[in-house]
Amino acid sequence: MTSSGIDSIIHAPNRLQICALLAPMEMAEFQFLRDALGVSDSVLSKHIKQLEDAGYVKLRKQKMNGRQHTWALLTRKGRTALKTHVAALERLVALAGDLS
Amino acid sequence: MTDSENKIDVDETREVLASVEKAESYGLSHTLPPRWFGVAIALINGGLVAVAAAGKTTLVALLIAALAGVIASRQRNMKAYPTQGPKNAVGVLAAIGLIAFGIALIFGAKLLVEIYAFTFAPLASGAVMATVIYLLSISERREYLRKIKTGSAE
Repeated sequence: MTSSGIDSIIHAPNRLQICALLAPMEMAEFQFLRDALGVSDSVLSKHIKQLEDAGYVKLRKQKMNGRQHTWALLTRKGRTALKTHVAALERLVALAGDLS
Repeated sequence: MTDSENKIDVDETREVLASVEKAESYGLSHTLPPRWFGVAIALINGGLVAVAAAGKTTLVALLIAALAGVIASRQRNMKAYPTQGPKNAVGVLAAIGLIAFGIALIFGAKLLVEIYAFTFAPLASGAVMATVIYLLSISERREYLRKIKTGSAE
């Protein structure tokens, strides 16, 4: 994260969308995120892995009705990072508004 | 950086912020509890207070099983789970207050039956509890809809 609050991990559009989707909820199924983003399983896996490595997202595997389901949840660190990132973007827009 | 490049950056940032709000609303809308869920939870909790006040312990066990069944049925096909439990100290206090209110209703109804022989007291206390929980579920639903509309996940 830069001193301005812009987080390079979250800043990528798909990763930002994943964090924003997960922010108001406890957790969401992998399939739900894939459909919401309109990306393939492999693309979503790649982004989730990066968020997981940064400690922003955690994965949980559960067996329901005989099938394995993967759930993703935004960690406390991820929530803070998202808030800070969004606040930094808002500051940027406000600053540009003041300058113009 | 030229003025034109600055403008593009700001416009893009605005778009990014709008997309964040949209994604939060989308996520929230998929965790919105259905109306029937609030009604079922209110009726079962009202029933619990009524039968506990009437001293029907077998029915209490049945209603707890029904409560678990309703929650399980709601969660069976969910792809996104709403935030569980109270989110802050006020929420924790409100939850404790609601449980205390339910217990007070049970003991109040028991006292009314024992002292004044008001046999309708358990039913009335159950109705009060059901009404309070239903009103809370409506208020929670409205709050959800407001957040979905404004795109605020806070």
